[in-house]
Amino acid sequence: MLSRTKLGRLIVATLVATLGFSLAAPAAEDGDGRRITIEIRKFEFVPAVPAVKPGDTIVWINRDIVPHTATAADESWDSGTIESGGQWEMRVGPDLATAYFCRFHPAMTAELRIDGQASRRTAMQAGAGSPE
Amino acid sequence: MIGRTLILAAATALLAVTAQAQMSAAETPADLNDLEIAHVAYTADSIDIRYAHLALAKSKNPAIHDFARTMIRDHEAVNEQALALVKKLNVTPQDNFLSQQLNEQSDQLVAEMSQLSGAAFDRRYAENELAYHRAVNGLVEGTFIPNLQNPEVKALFEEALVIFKAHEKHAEKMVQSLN
Repeated sequence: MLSRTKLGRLIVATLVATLGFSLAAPAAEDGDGRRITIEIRKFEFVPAVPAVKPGDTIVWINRDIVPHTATAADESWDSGTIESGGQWEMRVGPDLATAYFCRFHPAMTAELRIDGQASRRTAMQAGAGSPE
Repeated sequence: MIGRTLILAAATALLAVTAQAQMSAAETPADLNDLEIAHVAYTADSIDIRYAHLALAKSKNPAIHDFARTMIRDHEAVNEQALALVKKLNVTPQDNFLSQQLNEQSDQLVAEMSQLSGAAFDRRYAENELAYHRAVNGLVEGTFIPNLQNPEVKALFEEALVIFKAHEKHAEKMVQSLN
């Protein structure tokens, strides 16, 4: 039989744990995920290094007047052509390659920062000595 | 009545010729008005698209092909925006000495590059892309943008300059990789 004091502490601890859990992992844990927007403007990915979690969906929106792509440096994922004013989205899965670039303009590089797990970072080869 | 009509027509024609002469009076890039600058930009874009088509036809280097396709894709996109703006503003770009000079130079260069093949062509194409973008970017940044009067035209040039500077960097890497 728990004493009143112990029962009280247990209730508080449970509340704190529950509250803490819900604050720390709001959407990614229930399979819903957040939507993270990356704008492509003036030949830059903005933000250049956003924090994302497995289960999140990343949306790239092209604000430039020319087409771009978002392509993993190891080419394990690729948006294809994102036309001016168009967008492309990708769900963050496990073991995602995080370094990426624009295939049309290889000097445009960026990275995803994966929170909560080790990510697979690949060396940026494009734009570092050889053209496309 | 017929005499008055003829005089009016002659006067109108004379005014048109005088206006044309005044509009074409520019002798340096700094003298060009907005409509002439727009004509130069459209011409410069079209010339680079022409070079890119030549590269696709002559080169076997995949990096050259990728670059050329990007030049066609981007310069066509910029020209589409320029045409849409010209239509919106209901104006007509004006031919001028610089557009003509650029066209003459490009004719000579296309003739010269057409005689080359293999690595020699690739190097010439890449070097010209670098030199051409450097020259045009310098002109756009140093002369055209400061002189443009229409804010919408100026904004399009500022946006285009970001694109062309990226092309210049890309061309620089291409030249390095071919040497």
